[in-house]
Amino acid sequence: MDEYDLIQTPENVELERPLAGIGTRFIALLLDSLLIGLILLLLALAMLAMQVGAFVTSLHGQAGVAFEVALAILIVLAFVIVWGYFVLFEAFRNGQTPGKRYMQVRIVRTDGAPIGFMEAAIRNLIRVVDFLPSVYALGGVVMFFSRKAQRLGDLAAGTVAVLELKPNYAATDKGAEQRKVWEQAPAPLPSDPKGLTTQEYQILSNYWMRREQLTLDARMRLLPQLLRPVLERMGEPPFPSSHLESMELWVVRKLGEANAAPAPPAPPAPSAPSAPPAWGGRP
Amino acid sequence: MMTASQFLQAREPAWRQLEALLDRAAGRAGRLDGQELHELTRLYPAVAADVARARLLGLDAARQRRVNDLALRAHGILYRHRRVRPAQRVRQFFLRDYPRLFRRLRGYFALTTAIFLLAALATYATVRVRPSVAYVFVPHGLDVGGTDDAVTADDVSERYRQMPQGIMASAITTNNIQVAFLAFALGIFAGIGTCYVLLVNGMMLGAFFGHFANHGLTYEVWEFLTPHGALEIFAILVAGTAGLRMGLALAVPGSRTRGASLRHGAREALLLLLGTLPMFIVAGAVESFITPSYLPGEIKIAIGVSLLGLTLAYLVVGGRRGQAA
Repeated sequence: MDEYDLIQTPENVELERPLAGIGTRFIALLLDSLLIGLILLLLALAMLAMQVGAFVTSLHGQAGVAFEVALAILIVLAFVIVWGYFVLFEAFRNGQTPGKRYMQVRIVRTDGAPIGFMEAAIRNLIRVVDFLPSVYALGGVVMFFSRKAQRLGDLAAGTVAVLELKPNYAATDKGAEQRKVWEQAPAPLPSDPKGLTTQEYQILSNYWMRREQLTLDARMRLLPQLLRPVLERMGEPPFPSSHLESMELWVVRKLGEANAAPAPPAPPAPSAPSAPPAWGGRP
Repeated sequence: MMTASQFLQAREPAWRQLEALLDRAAGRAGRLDGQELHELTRLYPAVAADVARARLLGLDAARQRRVNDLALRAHGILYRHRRVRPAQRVRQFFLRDYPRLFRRLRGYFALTTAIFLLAALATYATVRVRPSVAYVFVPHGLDVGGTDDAVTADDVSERYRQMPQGIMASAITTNNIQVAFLAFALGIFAGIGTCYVLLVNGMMLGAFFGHFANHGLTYEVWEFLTPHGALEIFAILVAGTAGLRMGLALAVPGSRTRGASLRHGAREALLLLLGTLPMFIVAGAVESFITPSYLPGEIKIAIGVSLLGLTLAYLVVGGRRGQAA
């Protein structure tokens, strides 16, 4: 199971978005179930009230045709809610039920497009099968083994559940301010001139994390370019361009020193991968 | 090649511009005017390329995210599929697409019918030979008075007549539609779940006929079942066809990948299923208002047969105009 869904655009660029996990989706489902239960409860109460009403009118000798019609309508209504709640919300609220909306989950097509009625209907009719034998056991197991965390309904409909954490870089003044600081202020120099600045640390650690995913050729081309300004600032001679291994060893050593430094340079807010200010909370 | 900071400096204005556009569009390209739309189509490919460049430059994760999300939002707006007006879509579906779809899937329909009839006939024969087997399928409640001898068709009809008809119509219709939904959904087990639904319903029908035949009530059971049952059973068979269509798409994908075949099969199956909804509504209305009525049996049977006949005629003839042979 991947944590990210990759969308291949016609421009041949892969866009990625985080997938909603089993836990998040289950909570969303729980909220929706509660809501459905509440609506059904109200319907049942309405039915009860009408039965009492019908009983009273029948005492006056006029059994209610109106009561029968109302009860018939209630039966249809309950059916439409039980089977239609997910289908209609997802089809007409762009892949979100109230529970999903609260949990910031959205159902989208695997190609990234918004879902339509067809997808919503297929995935939610197959919901009963995912529910089997109880409490979505089958759906959960299938999700666990599927690469994009899809349950059976998702596989048949060609949909995925994505997390839609809304970035608010520009939305709040705070976010914009932090961004400005990060963009305009010169990176703070470390106390040790041979140590790494925050920005350098960021760039090099990013390189190191992505190293496995890059081809040897790409690393040979990329790393010398990344190192040149760093080495120039430190006044160290550049490495011979073919010595990738010694460059990487140097990077590891510098990163290690920075990690062990007693007072590491305070990272500007939106720089760390998990920087919370860059991401909004619930809308 | 650009350094990361040159790249950021050069591209930041474009990102801000796209961000502003996306905020204004708020998820729908329709909210933008022509000029803005033009800007959007100009900016999006460039920003999509920035995503790749940001990755190549090894930009920090938060920045990569930002560019990625911008491109993602723009992608979501631009690559929507054409929307047809719903009313027109529904009209086109019933007048043209549905009969064509049914004819295209007639092989699956034949298979479904064969499974159902086989189960019905086998159970009928079994019940004729061993009458007590009927009670596996037929509720004892049908034996008014507790003994077999007390069963008459009038008893059954009488029970029907006592129920409030409007309530019965909605209860029967929703229940039948639920069975149809199950027949569709269970198809995802390579069609096996659908076969189960078909077998159980076929056996019930066979047992019902066998049970009444054992009591010399063959005509009465026809009179009782045909008005609504002809269309209702046909609709169940179509729903079963939908389930098998999806299941076999998964089991026998042909030239597609298994996943693509399942998705394609599920779409066709869902459309086939949707067309049964009107059938169930008509059948449910007949079951509650005509079946229990005091109309002569011949007229009731005629109603049931003509409903099925009309449906079949619609499916066989409908949407032929303009269709390549």
